Amino acid sequence: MQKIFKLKHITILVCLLLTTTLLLVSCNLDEDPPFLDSSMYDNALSAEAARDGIYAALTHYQAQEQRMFVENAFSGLMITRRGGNRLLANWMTGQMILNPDENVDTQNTWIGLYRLVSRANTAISNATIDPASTDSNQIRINDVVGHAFFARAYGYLSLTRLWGDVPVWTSLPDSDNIHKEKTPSKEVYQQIIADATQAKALLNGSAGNGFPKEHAASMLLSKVYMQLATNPNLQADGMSEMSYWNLAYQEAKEVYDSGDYQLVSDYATLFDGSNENSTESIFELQLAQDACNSQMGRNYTPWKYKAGQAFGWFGVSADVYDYHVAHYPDDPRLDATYIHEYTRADTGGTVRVYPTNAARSAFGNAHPYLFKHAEKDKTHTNQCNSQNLIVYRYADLILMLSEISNELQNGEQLGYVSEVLARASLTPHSGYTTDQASFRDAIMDEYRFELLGEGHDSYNNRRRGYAYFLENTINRRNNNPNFKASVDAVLNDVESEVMYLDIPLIEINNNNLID
Amino acid sequence: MKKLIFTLLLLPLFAFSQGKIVSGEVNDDKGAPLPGATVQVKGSESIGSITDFDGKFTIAIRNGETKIIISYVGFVSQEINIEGQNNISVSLEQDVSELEEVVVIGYGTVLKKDLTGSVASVKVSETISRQSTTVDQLLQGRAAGVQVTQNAANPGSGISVRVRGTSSLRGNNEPLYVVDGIIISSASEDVVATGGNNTGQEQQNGLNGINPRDIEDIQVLKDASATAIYGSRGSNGVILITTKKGTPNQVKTNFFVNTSIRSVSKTYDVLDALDYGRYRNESNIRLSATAQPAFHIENNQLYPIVSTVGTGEISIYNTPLTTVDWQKDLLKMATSLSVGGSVSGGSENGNYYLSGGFNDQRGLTENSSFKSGDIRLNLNQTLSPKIKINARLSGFFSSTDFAEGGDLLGGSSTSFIRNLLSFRPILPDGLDDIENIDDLGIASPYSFIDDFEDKSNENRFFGVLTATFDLGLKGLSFQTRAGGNIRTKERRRFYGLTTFVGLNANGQLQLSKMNLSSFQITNTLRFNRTFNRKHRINSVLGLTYDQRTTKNMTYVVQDFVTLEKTTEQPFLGQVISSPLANLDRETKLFSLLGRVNYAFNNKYILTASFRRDGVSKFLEDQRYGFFPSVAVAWNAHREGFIKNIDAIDQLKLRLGWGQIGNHGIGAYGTLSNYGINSSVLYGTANNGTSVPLILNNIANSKLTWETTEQSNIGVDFSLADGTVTGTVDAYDKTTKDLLISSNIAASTGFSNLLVNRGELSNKGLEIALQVNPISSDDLDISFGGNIAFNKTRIEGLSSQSLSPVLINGSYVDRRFYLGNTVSRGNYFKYPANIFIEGEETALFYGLETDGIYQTGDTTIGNAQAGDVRFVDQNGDNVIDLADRTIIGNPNPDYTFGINFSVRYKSFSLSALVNGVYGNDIINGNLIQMGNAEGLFRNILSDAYHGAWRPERQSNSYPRIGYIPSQGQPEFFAATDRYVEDGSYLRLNNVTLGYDLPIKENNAIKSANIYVTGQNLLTLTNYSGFDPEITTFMWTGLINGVDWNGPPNSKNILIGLNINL
Repeated sequence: MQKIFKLKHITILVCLLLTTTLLLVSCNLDEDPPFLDSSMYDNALSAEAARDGIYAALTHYQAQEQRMFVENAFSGLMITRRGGNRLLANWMTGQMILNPDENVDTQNTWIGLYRLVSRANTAISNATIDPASTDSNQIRINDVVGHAFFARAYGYLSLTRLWGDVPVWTSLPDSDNIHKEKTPSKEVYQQIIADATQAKALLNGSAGNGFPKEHAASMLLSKVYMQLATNPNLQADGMSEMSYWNLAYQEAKEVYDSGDYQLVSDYATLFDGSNENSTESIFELQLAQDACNSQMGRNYTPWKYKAGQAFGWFGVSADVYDYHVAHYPDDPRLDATYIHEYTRADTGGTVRVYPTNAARSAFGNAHPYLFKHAEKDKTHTNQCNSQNLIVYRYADLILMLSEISNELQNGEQLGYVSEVLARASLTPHSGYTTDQASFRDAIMDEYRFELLGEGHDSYNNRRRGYAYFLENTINRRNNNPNFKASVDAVLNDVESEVMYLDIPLIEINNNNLID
Repeated sequence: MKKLIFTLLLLPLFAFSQGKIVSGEVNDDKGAPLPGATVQVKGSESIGSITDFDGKFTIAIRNGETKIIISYVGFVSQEINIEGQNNISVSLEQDVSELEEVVVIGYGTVLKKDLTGSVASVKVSETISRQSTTVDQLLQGRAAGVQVTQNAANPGSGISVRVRGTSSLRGNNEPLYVVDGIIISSASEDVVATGGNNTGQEQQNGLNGINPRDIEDIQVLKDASATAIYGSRGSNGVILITTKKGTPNQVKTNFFVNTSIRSVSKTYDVLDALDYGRYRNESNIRLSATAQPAFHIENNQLYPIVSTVGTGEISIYNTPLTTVDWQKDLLKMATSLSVGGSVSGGSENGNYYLSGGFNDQRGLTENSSFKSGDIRLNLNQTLSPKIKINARLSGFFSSTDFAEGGDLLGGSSTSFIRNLLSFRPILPDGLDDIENIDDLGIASPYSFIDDFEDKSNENRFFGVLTATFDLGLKGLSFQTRAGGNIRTKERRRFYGLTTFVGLNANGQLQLSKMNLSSFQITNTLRFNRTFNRKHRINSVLGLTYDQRTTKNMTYVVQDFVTLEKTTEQPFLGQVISSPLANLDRETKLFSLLGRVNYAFNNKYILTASFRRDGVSKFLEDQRYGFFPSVAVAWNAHREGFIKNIDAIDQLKLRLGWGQIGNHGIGAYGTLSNYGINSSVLYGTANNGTSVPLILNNIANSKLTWETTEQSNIGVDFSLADGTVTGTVDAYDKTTKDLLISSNIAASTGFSNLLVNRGELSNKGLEIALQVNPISSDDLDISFGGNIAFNKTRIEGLSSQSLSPVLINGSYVDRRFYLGNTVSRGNYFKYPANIFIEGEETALFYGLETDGIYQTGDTTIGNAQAGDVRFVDQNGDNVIDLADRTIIGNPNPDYTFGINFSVRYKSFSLSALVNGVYGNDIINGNLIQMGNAEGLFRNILSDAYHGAWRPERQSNSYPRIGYIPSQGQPEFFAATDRYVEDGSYLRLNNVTLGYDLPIKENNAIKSANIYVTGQNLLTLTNYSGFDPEITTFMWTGLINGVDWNGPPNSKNILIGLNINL
C-alpha cells in the first residue's frame, strides 16, 4: 500500500511538471518584435519621422558626401588632393578626368540614391492620401507623401542624369520581385514628371521651416523640362524643344511669382552656416553636428584650415578660377567660392596655393581649394558639422529663368541675370548683350560663377549635349594656354565615355535583368 | 525436468555422431548462477545450449570438436577446451569495458555497443586540456570530419568549427553545442558591431566560458541519425560536452600551473626603410619625367625632398627621418600564465566536483591580452531510492584588451593589420608637416598601440538542475531538467586623437553590449530495460521548451572634452553619433521528441527518433517541422563466423538515415522592421536632431526551414586485442530550401533579403585509425590519425535564372549567384566567390592572368608593357566582366589529424599534427602589397625588386606605377594572381612530460612536469601570415579570403600538475 502511495505521489509530481511545461508553451510562438510596423504611416507624427527618414537618406554619407564628390568630380571643373595629393593618384584618374569607370564613390552614390527612392516608395506604398481632407492629421500625412514623391523625383533625376538608363522601382521589392531591367532614360523622365507633379499637388507646407515646399517640385520640373528641351532623344512624342522651354518657363515663373523667395544680401553667408534656411533656400538638407549627419566639414575643408581633421578633397582646376576672374575680377563671390591663402590652424603658418602661389610647382599647390563646403570655424574639432547643404536655391531659379527666357526670346532674360549679378555688385558682361547664342554661352558660364561646386555643374555642363560639353568644358581645360602637364590633368573627350557613368557592379552582379 | 527433456532431445544426435555430452555450470564472478548464458561449440553456426535457471547446461559434442564458447551479455566470453572433460564449471568475468562504455547522445545515453549513429569521441589528456582556453582547441585535429579554424596568437578571437563540410550557404555553419544537456550559444554569438565611421569590429569567440579543464568527454554527433533528435538545430552537427563529476570515496585534489612564451610565427617580407626610399624615388622618376625624387639618401639615412607648402620651393629637408620596421617593433614576444585546481570526491549517495582557475594570456602586441577566471561546482546526489538530482553551476569572467585582428573594411587607416603591413616604414612625425598626403598619412600602427583601446568584459553563468524520478516500473523513469545560460558582454572601443577615426571625431567611443539569456525546460520519460536478456530497449520521449533572448545595445559618442577617461565615461563625448539603440531579439522553440534504441541479442540494433519543432521565427504555416531518423547497426563480431577469427575483436556495421533542419536566421525575418537606423539622425532647422524612421528590411513571409537529409554508412572495428581500432564512415547529405541572406540588386534600396534558395549536397568519407602496438606498465606506444574527404555540390538554384558563365573554357548557361563584396574600400571591392548550380560551393570567380606584358607585346585596351596580361576569354579584345571564370576553389579535398604518443616509465611524449589539403586561398592583402603602385604605402620586397622594368623585364610582378585599383581590370574582378594553395600541415602540439618521483605516503600523490610546443612548425606554400584564415568565418558568402588576417604565433609552454 505504501509502495502504491509513493508511485501515486510521483505520478502527481510528473503530471505537475508536465503541466508546468505545457503552461509555459501555451504562450504562442508568434513573434512580438520590438519595432514598429507600417501602421506608423497612419499617424502624422510618426509619418513625419518617416519623412525625415527619406531626407536622411540624402544626408547619408553615400548620398551626400560621396554624391557630392561624384557630381563635382564628373563636372570636369575640379581636382582633388584625395588619395595621395598627386596628379596620378586614384581619385584624380577617375571621374575627375571624366572617366566613367566605377569607383567606391559612384557605387555608393548609386546605393544612396536608390535608398532614397526606396524610402520614398515605402511612404507612398503605406500612407493613405486624401487631398481633399480637412483633418489636420491627414493634411500632414498628405504632405509627407508629397515629400516622398518629391524625393523620388529628385532621386531618379539624379540617377538618370548620371547613368542614363536606370532601373525604375515605384514599389517595394519582395521575395518574388528583386530584379529589374533598365528603363530608358526617356521613360525615367516621364516618371520624374509624374512624381514631381504629384509632389506639387500634395506638398502643403505643413512640414514647416527647413523642408521643401511645392515650389521645390516646380523648380525640379522646370529643370526636367530644360533638360528635355535640349535633348530630342528624351522628348515625349508630340513634344518639341520650344514646348518644353515653355513648360520650363511656366514652372519656374510660378516659383518666381510666388514671392516666397528672395536673394539674401550677402552671398558668402549662404555657405558659412549663419544664414540657413534663408529666403533664398528652396530645397535645403538639414545638417546638424548633434545629429552627426555630415562630414562635409571634414572632407571639403582645406588641409589644416581648421583644428580638426580636414581633407580638402575639392580643389577647383586653376583654369576654371582664371576664367571666372577674367570675367569678373572684382566678384565678391570669388572669396566665398575659392580659397588660396590661409593660416594653418595648428602651426599658424601660411598655406598658399594657386593663384597666391603662382609657381604651380607641385600638384598640391597648383589649384585653389573650393571653399563653399568648408567648415568656416577654424577652432572646429569634430568630423561632423552643422553647415546645411542647399540643394536648390533661388539664384539658380533666376538664372534658369534667364536662360529659358533667352531661348524663348521673351525679353526677360537680361533682367533675371542682372538680378543675380546685382547682389555681387556686378552688371552683365558684354556676352549678354551680343546675340542669343552668346547670351546662351554667358548664362551657362554664369551657372558656374554662381553655383560652382553646389552639385549642378556636371548636369549643366552636359545638358546641352556632347558637343557643347566638349567645347565649353573639356577643350577649355585641355587647350588652356596655361596648361602645365605636371600639375594639370587632361580631360577624357571620348563621347561614349564622358556623358554617363558605368552602372556599378553591385547592381550588375545582383540584378539578373541587367548585363 | 527441463534438463532431462533436453538431454533426451539430444540423444538422437548423439546416437548418430560418435561424440559425447558435456554438461556444466556457469556462474558470474561472484559465484551466482547465470541463467540464459549461451553455450556454443566453436565453429558452429547454431546455438548449442542455453543455461537454465540454475546456470546449468548440457551440450552434445561431435567427434573432433574440442572447444566451446560461453557468452553472456555484459560478461567476457570464455573459450573452454573440453577435451577429456565431461563436466565443467565456468566463472564468467564481467566485461568492464563493455559495461562502462556508455556514450552520451542527445537527451540520454546508450551503451557504446548499441550506438547506431556516427559519433566521434574526443578524449584529451588533462595536460592538453589545461593548455587550452576554449573547447574548439580540443577539437582541432582530433575528430575526423571536424574542421577547426582558429588563430592561436589572438587570444579570445573568433573561431570556426565545421562538421562534415558546409551544410548551409547561410554563413553560420557552426555546430550546436550542448553542455550537460543544455543547448548553449553558437561560436559566432557576439556583440553587435557599432558600425559607423568606417570601423570594423573584429569577431570574438562565442565559446568562452566552456572550460576545457572541466570537460569529462566530448562527443561529436555527425550524422543525421545521431543529430535528428536535435531537429531544427542539428544540421551542422552537435557537440555534446559532459563535465566532470566526483568519484565516490575518493577525494582527488589537483593543482596546476603553466606558463608560456609566444612569438610571431611568420611575417611578411616588406621593404625596409631604405628600400622604401629607393622605391619611392624610382617611382617618382619613372612616373613623371618632371618629378623630383621623394627622398635624399645619404649614409643610410632618408631625408625628404620637399616642395614646401606655401612657397613651392624644392629642398632637401635637413633632418633625417626616423625609420621603423613595424612588424618587428610591434609584434613582440608575449607571456601567458594559467593556474588552477580542482577537488572532487563523494560517497555512495552523492559526489562533487569543484574547480577554479585563472588565465592571463598576452597577445603579440603590447596592449593585447586576455584574462579570465572561472569556477565550477558539479553535484550529484541521491535523495531517496527513487529520486536523484544533479546540479551543474559554473561562472566565467573575462576581460580582453585589443585582441588584434582583421578589419572587414580594410582601409589602411582603420585596420591595424593593414596599417601594420602597408604603412610606410617611416615615423609620421617628420613628414606630417611637410608632405600633405591627405588621409593616407594619418594613423601609423603606433596609433593602434598607444591610442586605441578595445576592451571586452564578459561574464557567463551556466546552471542546470536535473531531477530523475524512478517511477516504480522497472526501467521507467521521469527526468525533468531546467537550465540556462546567461552571458553578458560589453565591448568598449576608444579611438584616440592619433588614430584616423579619433582624429576625425576628436576622440570616439564605441560601446556595444550584449545580454544573452537562454533557458530550457526539458521533461523526458525514459524507459531503459532488458527483457529476457535478449531484448534491450532504451527509449526516451520528451517535451522541451527553449527560449532565447538576446539584448544588444550600441552607442557611439565622439568629440571628447577630455581624453582622461577614454573608455570609462561616455558623457565626456559631446556629440552622439549613434544614439543608444536596443536591438532585442527573442526566439521561442517548443518541441516534442522521442527515440527508441532496441538491441536484439547484442547483435542487431535499431534506433529510430523523431523531433517535432515549432519555432517562432516562421509564420504559422511554416512554423512546424518534423525531423525523423532511423538507423540500424550490426555487431558482426558476435556472429559465429567472425567470432572465431581471433584477429577481430569488434566489427560493427552501421547504417543510418535522417532528416534534420536549420532555422539559423535571426528572429523577425518574416516581419517588416520599421525603426531607426542606429547610425543616422536627421537635423532640424535650428541645428537640433530629429529621429528618422525607416524600413530596415524586406520581410519575407515565405521563409521556412532549411532541411538536411543525410545517409550514413559506417564501420567500427577493433583488431588484435585492441591493438588497432578504427572507424570508417561514408555519408551523403543534401540540404534543401537553403536559407540565405541573398544579395539583391542595390536598386531595390536594400542590400539583402532572407530567402530559401537552392539545394546543396555534401558527400564524404571519414577514416579514423588508432594503433596501440605496445601497452605495458613501463612502455606504451600509440599513434593514429584521421582523415576526412568531403565534396560539396550545389544541386539546385531554382530561384536564379539561367545565365552564361564561363566554365572550363566555354560559356554555359547555368544558374548562379555571386558572393558578398569583400571590402568597402577601393581594393577588393567585388565578390570573390561564385555559387554555381552543379559545382562546388563558393568557387573563386575572376580573371585569369598570363604573366606580364613585355615590350613589343600586343596589348588589350589601354594596357602597356609592364601591365598584367589578362586572358581575353571571349576574344573580343576587351577585358571585362564577361572574361571572368573559375580561378580557384576554397574547399579542401581533405582535412586530417595525426597523433602520436609514447610513454616510457616516467616520461611521456605526445604530438598532434593537423592539416588541410587541396584548398585555395585568395590573399587579398597582396592586391595592394604585391604591386609597386608607387604610392605612399609599403609593399612586398619582391614586388619592388622583382617589378617589371623596361630594362629588366619580369613576368611575375608588374611595372612600377601599376595600380590594380586604378584603370585596371583588377579593379572590378578578382584575379588568379592572388590565388594560392592553402594546404598546410601543422605541428599543432608536442608535449614532453615527466612524472616526478614521489615517495609513498607523501601528501603529494603524483606530480607531472611538462614542456609543450604549440604551433612550432607549419608546412605550407601559402605566403600570408597563416593559412588558417579567420576573416569572414561566419559569412557564408565570402569563403577562403584572407583580408587583413592577423599573424599567428608559436608558443613554448612549461607546466606542472600536482595531485594530492
